[in-house]
Amino acid sequence: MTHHRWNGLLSRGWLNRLVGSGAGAALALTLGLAALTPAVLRAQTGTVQGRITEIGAGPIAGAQVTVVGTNLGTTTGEDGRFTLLVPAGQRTVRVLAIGYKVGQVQVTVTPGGSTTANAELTRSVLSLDEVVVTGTGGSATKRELGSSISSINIAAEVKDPPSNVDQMLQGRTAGLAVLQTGAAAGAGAQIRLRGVVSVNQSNQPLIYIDGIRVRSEGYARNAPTAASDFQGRGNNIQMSPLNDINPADIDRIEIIKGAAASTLYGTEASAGVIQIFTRKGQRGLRPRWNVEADGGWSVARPFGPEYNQFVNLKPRDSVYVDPATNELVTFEKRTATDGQCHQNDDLSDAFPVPNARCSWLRNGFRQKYAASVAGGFDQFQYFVSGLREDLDGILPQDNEKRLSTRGNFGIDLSEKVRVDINTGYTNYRVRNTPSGNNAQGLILNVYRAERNYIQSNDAARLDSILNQQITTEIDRLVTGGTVYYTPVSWFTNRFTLGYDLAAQENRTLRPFGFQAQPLGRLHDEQTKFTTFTADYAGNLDYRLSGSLSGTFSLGGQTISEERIRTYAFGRDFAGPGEPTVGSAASFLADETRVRTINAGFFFQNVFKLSDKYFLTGGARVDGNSAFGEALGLQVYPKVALSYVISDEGFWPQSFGEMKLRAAMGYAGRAPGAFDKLRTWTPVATGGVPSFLPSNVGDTLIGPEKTREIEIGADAGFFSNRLAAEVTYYQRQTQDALMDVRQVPSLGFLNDQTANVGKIESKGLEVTLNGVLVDAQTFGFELGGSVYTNSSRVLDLGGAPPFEAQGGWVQGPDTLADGRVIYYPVAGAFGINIKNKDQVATPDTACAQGEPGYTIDAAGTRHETGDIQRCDISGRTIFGPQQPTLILGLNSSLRLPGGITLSARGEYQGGGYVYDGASGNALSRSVRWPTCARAHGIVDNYVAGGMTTSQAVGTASSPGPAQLAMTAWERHACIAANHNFDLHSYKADMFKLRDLTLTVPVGSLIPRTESATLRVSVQNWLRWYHDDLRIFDPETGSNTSLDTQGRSITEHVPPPATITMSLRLAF
Amino acid sequence: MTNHQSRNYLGWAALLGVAALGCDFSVTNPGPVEDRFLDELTARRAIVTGAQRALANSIQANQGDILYYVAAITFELNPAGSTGSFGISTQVQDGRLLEDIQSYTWNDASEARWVAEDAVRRLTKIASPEDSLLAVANLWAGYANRLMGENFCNAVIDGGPEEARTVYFTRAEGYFTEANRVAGLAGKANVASAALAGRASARAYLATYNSNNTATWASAAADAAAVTSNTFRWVLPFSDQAQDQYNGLFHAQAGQPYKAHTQWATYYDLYNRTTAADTRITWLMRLQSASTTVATAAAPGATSITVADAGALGTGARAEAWLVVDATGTKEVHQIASVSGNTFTLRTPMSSVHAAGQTVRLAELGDAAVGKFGGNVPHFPQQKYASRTAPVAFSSGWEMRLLQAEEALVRGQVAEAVGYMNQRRANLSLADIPVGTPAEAWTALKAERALELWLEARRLGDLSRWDAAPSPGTTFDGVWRDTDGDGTWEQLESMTTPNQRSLCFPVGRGEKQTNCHYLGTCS
Repeated sequence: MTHHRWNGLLSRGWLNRLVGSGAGAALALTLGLAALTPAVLRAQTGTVQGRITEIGAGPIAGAQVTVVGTNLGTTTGEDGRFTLLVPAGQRTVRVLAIGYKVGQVQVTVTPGGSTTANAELTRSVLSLDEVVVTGTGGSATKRELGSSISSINIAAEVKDPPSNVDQMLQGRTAGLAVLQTGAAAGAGAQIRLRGVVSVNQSNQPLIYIDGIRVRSEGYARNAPTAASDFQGRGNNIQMSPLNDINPADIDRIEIIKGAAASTLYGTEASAGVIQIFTRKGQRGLRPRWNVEADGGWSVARPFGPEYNQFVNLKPRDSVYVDPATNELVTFEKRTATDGQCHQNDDLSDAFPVPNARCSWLRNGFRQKYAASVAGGFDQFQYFVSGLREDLDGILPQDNEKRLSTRGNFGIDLSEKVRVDINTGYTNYRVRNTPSGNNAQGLILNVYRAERNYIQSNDAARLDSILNQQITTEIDRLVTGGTVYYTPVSWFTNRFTLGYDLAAQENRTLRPFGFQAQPLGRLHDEQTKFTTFTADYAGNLDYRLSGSLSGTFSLGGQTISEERIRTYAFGRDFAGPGEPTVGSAASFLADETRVRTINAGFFFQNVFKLSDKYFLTGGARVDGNSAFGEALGLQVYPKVALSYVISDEGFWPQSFGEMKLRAAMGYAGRAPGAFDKLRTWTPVATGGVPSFLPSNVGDTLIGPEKTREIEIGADAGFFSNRLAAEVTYYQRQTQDALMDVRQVPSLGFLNDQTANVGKIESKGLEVTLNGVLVDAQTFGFELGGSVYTNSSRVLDLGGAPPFEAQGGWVQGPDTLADGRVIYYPVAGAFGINIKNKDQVATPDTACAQGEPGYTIDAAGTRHETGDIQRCDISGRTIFGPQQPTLILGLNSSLRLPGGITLSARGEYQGGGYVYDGASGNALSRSVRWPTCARAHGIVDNYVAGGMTTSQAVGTASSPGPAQLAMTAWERHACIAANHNFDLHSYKADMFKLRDLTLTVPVGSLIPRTESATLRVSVQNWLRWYHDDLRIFDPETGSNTSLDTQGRSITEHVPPPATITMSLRLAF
Repeated sequence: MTNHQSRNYLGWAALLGVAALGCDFSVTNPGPVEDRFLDELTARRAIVTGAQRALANSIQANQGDILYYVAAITFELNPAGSTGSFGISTQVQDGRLLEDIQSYTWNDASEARWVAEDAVRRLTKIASPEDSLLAVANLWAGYANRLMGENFCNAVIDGGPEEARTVYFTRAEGYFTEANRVAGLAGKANVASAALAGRASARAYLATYNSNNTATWASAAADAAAVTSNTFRWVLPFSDQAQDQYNGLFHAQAGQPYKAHTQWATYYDLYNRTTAADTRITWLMRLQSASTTVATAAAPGATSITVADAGALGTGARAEAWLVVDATGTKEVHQIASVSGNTFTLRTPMSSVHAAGQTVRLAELGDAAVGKFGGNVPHFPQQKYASRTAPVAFSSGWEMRLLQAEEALVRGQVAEAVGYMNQRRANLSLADIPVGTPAEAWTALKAERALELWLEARRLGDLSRWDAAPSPGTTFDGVWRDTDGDGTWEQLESMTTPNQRSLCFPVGRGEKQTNCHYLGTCS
């Protein structure tokens, strides 16, 4: 039987893929190294064992136990116990657990002997002794840091990781904005740390996994390219590499929000750094298994007006306008249960569509199975995990299948040398429904109903759209190793080699017989993205006098990235069947290869006085293959101060703990590989080679430099039951890389990336976490965060204003009265109808610098307290696209029996989103839900004998129907008046990101260490600003994750998910 | 001790290793070609083909291309749906060519002009004086300048100040002259003819803008007369290789998935229904395959028609659909107002007798509703360009005959002018134009140019120059619609009624926002 089972396993494609991809080789290497580990490395050792408990309470699981001055360490089990084999001598055992004060125990270890080191920890929500490694030369306690580094301990804080990392980060920490981009399977999120850092370059933070730099830019969208004659007609989503990681594999995440702390990462680190540390094995621990089974559904939530809540994707109610009042009336409630498909309005009822699809949405079933085992011996520790996930989306073809494995191994080659080898492999297969701004997509054509591209709302014809096959497959291997060498306790070395391979295949097939292209089309795009990391850091601890000590760090890093992309496109197949590109009557191919190298070295020194005054200074020196000839190496300095004021004698003990800090640092972003050269694009023209202008070139181009200053304080009050963290930051990007428009009559039309101008971003971050009630069987914890961000263009260096990333970039204007008006970085712009709801002529003029105002339906004017900002075309600059205020709220209620109920909510406000789906539809005279009243008014006049033209009239000579409309309806709902600039809307929203009930059921399941049953609901409860008439600000568009732009195209908003999970540990 | 020291060195060695790896920033990234490589002799063919490609992009690029938008603004075709991709913006439908929306048009045309002129500059340096590629480069530079002169209100050359549009024609004249000279040396007769034809048209524009200057007209006529072959054509080719090389005007109507424009209700629609078939103006009346028959004979003026089986037409037989009744010799196209059983009430009355048994079908519709027409409209696609590779003519022998006719009219020689026009009509087996008054001859000439140069991006140039130097006669344009709801069609819109439509593309906003002469920042 066993034999058969293995055969079955081996026959599976995923295992072959695993071996073929190189992951198998890496795993073999790992296991081989493990086998070489000496059985006993050191004879002169003794055993230290102990139990970590909370004062007056039970054991603490997951506490980190380390031996100071060595690489030795482990974590406690569920019973709070640990065992370590430690070299003989006087030793300090240090214990750190999230939510507790640090503990230290002095022990004397004798050769072959056994020593006990029990520790009782005090609860503390402020963890100044928590150790972080991100942003520093080596590891450091938080008390030393002059900058704010957020760390998320998954076991302690997340408890129930959602299915992807994007969701896990939402609302977790101040300064972090996670903006989902839709409901489609695989859709990733924009992640922004402290707002916009670059106009031209990516705003996604860098990502490191176990010290290895990995891909952070979004994957290539599965959308055929321009030459393929069905450009953009794919899924039009972008997947995030962050979501290749199995959240259950993560031990903790450290987040650097800006240049003040990311200096040592140099060029490309200005948008921040996210470091992910995966779980490790434990010394002296028998194998501990964790097994998890999840099941649940994703469910669409309404995103349209009450009478058409799913914008034609589900049965809608019939509406008309009462001619007497011009009010919209819903007269027939539709359901899909009456045996007839009623997707059309009353006109189509004469032609019901039998047996047709009545709803294009479904409750997508989700299942996940995961297992991991962790354990170890004294010299060898391991963590191995596996995940199988199968998630149906709410759209008919949407599905994600993920297979993920990880093997993390730690080997103590000696007391002074330790090797960690970490390998993760993921195979991710996504099937999508054609969506987005895709003329042959399901969503676009269902949204536009009878005025779509097949001129029909016929369900059977719409169903035929689903003959397309859109699949994306990603093989991701991240492997690497770190050698820790500690020749003496005051000198540590870390050397890391890493390799990240992301191989992606995008395939889009319109088969033979497809309605709009009967002979078929096939597009296949393969991208290989590799990142090679070599990284060294050395730390030297020294003492200058009794109370003055320090740490000097020195290191270097080289990152080599290569992107190889090939695509093939074929059209016109001989007949039905599964085609290849080569089987098409004609085909095209293209290739792109881009390699960039970034390398540099850093040094840093930390002076520590009396363990309460800390001064850090350092610099990074960087080179990059994309820099211009004249620029050479770039220097990014940093300086930071930390002062633990509560350690002063004058500080009343009752005030609690407090640290004051300040930091300043530089980081950058490098330009693109070709930006410095004047180039032409070689293209085939009817089979003959030709050149077209490409890039004007700028030989002086260099990286943009971001300087960030932050000041703040960390404090713990009420015996550290309430922790507060406050940070003010101000960030300036100088020599900002921007898209400088070229003079068209000079022949080169492409914008040139150039160092011009200066942008600024500033704001406040406040985090509060408190244990309000902490009784034996009952507890209540409440936390929250406030994050503000304001960005503006300080200078455009004489370059003309331009559109970038969906927004408008303009330098300051000086008014006649001397006032200077600044503009947000890539601000949302458009026609501002001040009297939107008033039945009147639209008031749209933008008066630069005049007070802003609105006019309500009754005609009363209200000042907004803001001033009007106008672009050079007279459009209004509304504000930034990214949110300016994010509020996070989380709470946890602990009930008798160990039952807990936790909730996490997030409010995002101040940003604007462009609703392109409405713009596209209304410009094409589609009967759109937000214009139902306007359409009804016209219908009434036509029914009365007028032609549509007579009823509507023109903008300058409005007809009676137009005169009965509101100012917004006149502009938006009459195609002849329509302007695409109408559709920028406030994107304020609140979502209950997560509501989870956890019930311990260990006593019901024998032979388990623990077992929990969890029920979790995500994104069910939502609120949006009325200004956004339909959709959800996170609906997403065809744009990239890497931009700052926010827009909506023909997608579906993120669904709610309901998940039940059973987790066993034994 | 030594051993211990060597371990200490390990870290430093590793650091040096990393530093050594990091010192080499040299990478080779294939793809784009550096500008200096274009100065090599072997690059000259690709440079000249690039000039041709840029010109093709200029008239056929996806957004705001000149060929398509000239057709739309001058009613050579009507919108049938999409206003974005492959469609006609609502502003252009409304007759407005705006500097922001048409910025693409300006940019692409400017690029085409600059690339062609750059090709001439480079080839003049690297090629031999009799290189035929140099002649072709000059030819494309001439056509690129003529295209801009015909269609843009003003000229801007290489980031300079705004000038009169005639600057383009003057430059075109120069490049055509040089093309003709080099082609003569190279023995390329067809290039030489194209250069003469191009120069003739450029001179015609210069003559007209100079108040029908007879001397310049004479030189234009002389060039035209030198192109003796009526069958001569110089075309800009398109390719099936990739979408961005397709004939975009065709692709926008090809139903993949766009059916963005139609001939329905244009002046050419009326012309073709009332005139014996003129093969210069061809389109398809696309009808759905499902059919039924007339059940009860309908008389002229009837506003409803009863068919044998409305259900046979499928679910599309509903209000706003278009019914086509197949009368003998004439198909009537009517929009359905409402459906009741087998009876369709129509929005416009029948104009002729329809006997029982005649076929009734539904028209295929455009790809989306058209606001100005109040809904979906029939998709009757043009057939002048019937494939993705269909080329666009830039000059032809028949155009030369019309230039000679116009020059004769300027001189007041009506009979001579009509003679030139009738050469073409005889070739098409169409009835002769009678010799009448000068105004009638001018009207005929304007119609003949509209028909001969239909959908060749020339119409706007003609209307514009005739507007600048008024001549007798009426123009041939407009869209036909029911203006007052009485069920009959009146001409609702023309180039001048109810509003004056744009007669040229403005200089693009992109130029105005970047050129220091517009910004006042030139040092």
